[in-house]
Amino acid sequence: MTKIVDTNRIAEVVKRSISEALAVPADKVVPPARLISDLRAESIDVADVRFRIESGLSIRIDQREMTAAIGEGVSAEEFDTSFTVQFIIDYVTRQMVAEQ
Amino acid sequence: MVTGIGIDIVNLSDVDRLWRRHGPRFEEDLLTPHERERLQEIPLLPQCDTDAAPQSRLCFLASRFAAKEATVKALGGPHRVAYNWSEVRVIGESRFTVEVRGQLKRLALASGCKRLTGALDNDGMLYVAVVMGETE
Repeated sequence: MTKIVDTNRIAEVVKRSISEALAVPADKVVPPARLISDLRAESIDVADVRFRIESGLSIRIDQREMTAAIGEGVSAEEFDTSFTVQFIIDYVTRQMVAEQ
Repeated sequence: MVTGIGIDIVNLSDVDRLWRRHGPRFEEDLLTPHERERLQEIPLLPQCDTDAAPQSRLCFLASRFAAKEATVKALGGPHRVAYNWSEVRVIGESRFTVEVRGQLKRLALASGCKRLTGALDNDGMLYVAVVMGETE
């Protein structure tokens, strides 16, 4: 049976997961916000975000695969610039579409 | 020759928060299968102390977390959230060696790192790990 991927719900779960895991107000969790330099996420916080999204959307997110989607061999600066709220929304959406 | 040094400090309360909320998922993500077996052998006690051997599962998780983060830093990865913790196996307690696989193994080979060793200490709340990579 084909499931419908609700992109609004994905965005809502991702934003809420980030807001709660990082203890930042929801209005700061905007699509271009960078998790590390804007929202001050540490690696342990990124894991918390990931697990919350997994729980909220009943999916499994592999940290290595997710971050590899940014690109192999990128610099720390390029990684930080790309690792945004929107990136995670897009990655989770692609994964859920692929799992259909 | 030293190829890199990594240091990490983690607060036990942060590990506790993540473990309480995500439990087995966190264990599976952080630990290798060998480490998960080791975890099950450790009593589930509320207290940590500064002995070499972990006194509770929470202490074990905190020590592994710090050691793995320090390892990624020692290998000079572009960013430490770009790896799976399960690519790092920590062998030992207060003095340990590290085995890496996957992307981290490729990073180690690229830098000429053939040996990773480290040390752990804690004051009951803060866990500190230092890892050094060497060519021999």
